[in-house]
Amino acid sequence: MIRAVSKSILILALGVMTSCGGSSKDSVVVYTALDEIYSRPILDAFTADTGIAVKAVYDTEAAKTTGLVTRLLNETGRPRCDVFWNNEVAQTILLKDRGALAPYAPTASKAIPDAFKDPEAYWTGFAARARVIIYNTERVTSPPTSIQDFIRPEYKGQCAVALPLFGTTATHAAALFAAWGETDTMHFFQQLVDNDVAFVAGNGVVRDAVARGEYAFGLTDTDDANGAVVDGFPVAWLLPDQDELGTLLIPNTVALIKHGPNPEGAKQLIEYLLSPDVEKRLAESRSIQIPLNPAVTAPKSVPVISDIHTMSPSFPEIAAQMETSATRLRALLVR
Amino acid sequence: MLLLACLSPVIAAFLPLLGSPTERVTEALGLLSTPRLWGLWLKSCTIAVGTVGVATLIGAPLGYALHLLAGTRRSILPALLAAPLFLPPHIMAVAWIDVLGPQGLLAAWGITPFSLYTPTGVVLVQALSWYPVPLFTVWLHLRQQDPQLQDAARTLAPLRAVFWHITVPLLRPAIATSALIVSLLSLLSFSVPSLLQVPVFTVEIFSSFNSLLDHRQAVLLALPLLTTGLCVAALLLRYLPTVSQQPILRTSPPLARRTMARAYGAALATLTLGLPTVALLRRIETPHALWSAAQTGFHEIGTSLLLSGLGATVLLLLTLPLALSRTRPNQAFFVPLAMAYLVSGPVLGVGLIACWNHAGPLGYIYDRFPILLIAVTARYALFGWLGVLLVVRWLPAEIPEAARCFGATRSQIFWRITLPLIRRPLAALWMGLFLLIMGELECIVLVAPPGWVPVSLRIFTLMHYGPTAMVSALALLQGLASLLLLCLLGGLIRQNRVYTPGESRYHSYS
Repeated sequence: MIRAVSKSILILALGVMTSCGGSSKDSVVVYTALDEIYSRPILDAFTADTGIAVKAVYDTEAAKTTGLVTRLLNETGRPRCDVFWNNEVAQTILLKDRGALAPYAPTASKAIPDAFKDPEAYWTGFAARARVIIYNTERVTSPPTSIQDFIRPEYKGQCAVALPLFGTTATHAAALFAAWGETDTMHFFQQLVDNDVAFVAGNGVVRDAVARGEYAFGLTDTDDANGAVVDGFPVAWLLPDQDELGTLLIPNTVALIKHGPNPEGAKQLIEYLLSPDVEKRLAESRSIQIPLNPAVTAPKSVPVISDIHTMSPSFPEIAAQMETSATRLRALLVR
Repeated sequence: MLLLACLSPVIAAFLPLLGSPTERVTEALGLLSTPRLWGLWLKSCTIAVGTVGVATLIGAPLGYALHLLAGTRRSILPALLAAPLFLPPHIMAVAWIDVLGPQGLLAAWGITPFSLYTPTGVVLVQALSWYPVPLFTVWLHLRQQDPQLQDAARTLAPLRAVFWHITVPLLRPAIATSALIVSLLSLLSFSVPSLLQVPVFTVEIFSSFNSLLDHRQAVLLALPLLTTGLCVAALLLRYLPTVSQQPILRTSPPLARRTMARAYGAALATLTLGLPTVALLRRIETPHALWSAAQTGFHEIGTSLLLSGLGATVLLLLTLPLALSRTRPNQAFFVPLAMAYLVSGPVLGVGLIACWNHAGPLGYIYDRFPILLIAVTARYALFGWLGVLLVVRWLPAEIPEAARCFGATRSQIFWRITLPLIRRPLAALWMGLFLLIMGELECIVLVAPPGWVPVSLRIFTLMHYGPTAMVSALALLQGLASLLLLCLLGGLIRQNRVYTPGESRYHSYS
């Protein structure tokens, strides 16, 4: 019996060793940071439409182990990825700066506003999320409307924010560095610490903590916040700082990998991802991603981009602050 | 091959540090002289010491209790007590949050013992995940002791004196071994402290990679943990068992002691298996979620089982010949094997990319499943080697020696004497390695090829939305799949066993 099992394992092992691997003419390898539950159906639809198989490596912004960006940077000598579909923008810009991306101006990008695409065509944005305040309706009657409210003494110990070293919270922190300057931003974060704001493992944790009533409110993304609403938790959300500072919008970005194995297939996938149909599907999903293409009509629950007062720093300005922000905040918060 | 697998990625990861020695030393000193950094290091070490202490306090007495029950009748208690090993620690952490957290099961009953979101919480969760390590080390070690030693002592001294002067010294090597394993696991742990919001040294390494994308800094930051781990290991290695044991003659302990042992084991199994399972099931809510997880996670669970099975087998195949050589230079393998684990998963992953992502045959391997196999082999070679060293100590040296005198060849001795004698501890080691690989995350996240994603990785990526029904269902399925496979293997081993408890090992050769 043991011998039979051993033989089976050996045959299986040999099969696996010679199994199909990376990209080929009939397939495209995509590294995607958008949550699998949203990205997988879209990639499957692309395969159904074009006959090109998609091999995806998924990641999320909450995967605080080194993620796809680290992987892409280390694979620049011999990329096995064709397309990078990021769920945010700052790290895509870092990849461009480090020479991991190739320029490609998709036809479909013409409809996207200039602020959401790279002037040199290294990346294109679509389907954005907003940074929002989520609050527990059983604990808060008059919710805060600004992130500055997080430092008000009456809210001491009642707010939660993800550790601003990873994911969209890191981008948000860098945006504050770009908007306010280093000194004022560090002062703000010091006040958050003094006000016993909880710095938790990720935006999903913020969502859960507020939904369960452990904290009265917190800062998270529209997709997390809407998920809690859809699940029936006693929560609501709002766009913060609509008077002065503005709300940070973070688009998905798609980029062609330099020297990727299947550039033609990659370009087809990029065109597909930027199509109005994909933006519409993402807007209609539970993640209610905000369409950037004005031609796309979204459900009423999705904010309209023209109605949102957004933060003023450009994405390259925000990306330029990422390193300073991470270094300073790590020294303050990781101890 | 083992050295190549372990050392090449480590060297590749450290290559960026090459350059002007003065510049590098200045850079390293500048980085490592930050007081905050050493505060984190101290916290990591404190948590590791605490985890070792609590895990040993729970596991070692249980191992002793299981020993008292051995030979009385077959029991499922060992399998139940091993249950925490069937799930990765971060899943156990999620389950314990559901039990002990502010909105957990106990809080619902008005019991709030302490905050889980503290270093104490990390120690507790890790200890409850890894106590089976001291448990089984002590149990297996005691099975090799001659009870006549204790029986003889008991005719001369009271029970307490026998326990402290005979039993405990006999257990020292086993406790040292398990302490070594648990301390290394804890020092490098990232997921549990991260989930419980306790900043530790590994957070610093991970944020260097992920936030700053500064690989050189991350590699430099790996040095303090690497040095600490090597020192701890060097210290504890001195206590590894070094002598072969004598054949066992079992005696049955008194009924009262057996009953107490059984009660203690059952209580702990209920606590450590029952509560987290209830917590996970509570999240799943409907059987449909479990079915849905099984459908969508089928391929990932299959990948994990395949990777763990092949990985554990490869590790045994590579380390067994080393340990059987019984030569002193064997110890020299410790440093390179330990380095591959202690540099941390992401550093090893980056090194693997640098080594294997090249055109030609290397790239062929990198693009396919074997890169995962190489990754887990490099990462867990230390544990395979330590385990095999322990297993080989079970082998009475005089038996192969006698066979050699009668003209048996090396191959005959291995297949007909050595392997039958060590097949059970070897199977136990294989299972341990299997479970370790099932939970692997930090290294394979960087090298998993498209289409070959292990379930541990999928669970972690799905945890973006917190522990959902899908995460809980996948975690339970992962545990169940491991359990079923290991039960099958256990059944096979038992079916083909050569010896029964109480039998003399010599009868086959008389």
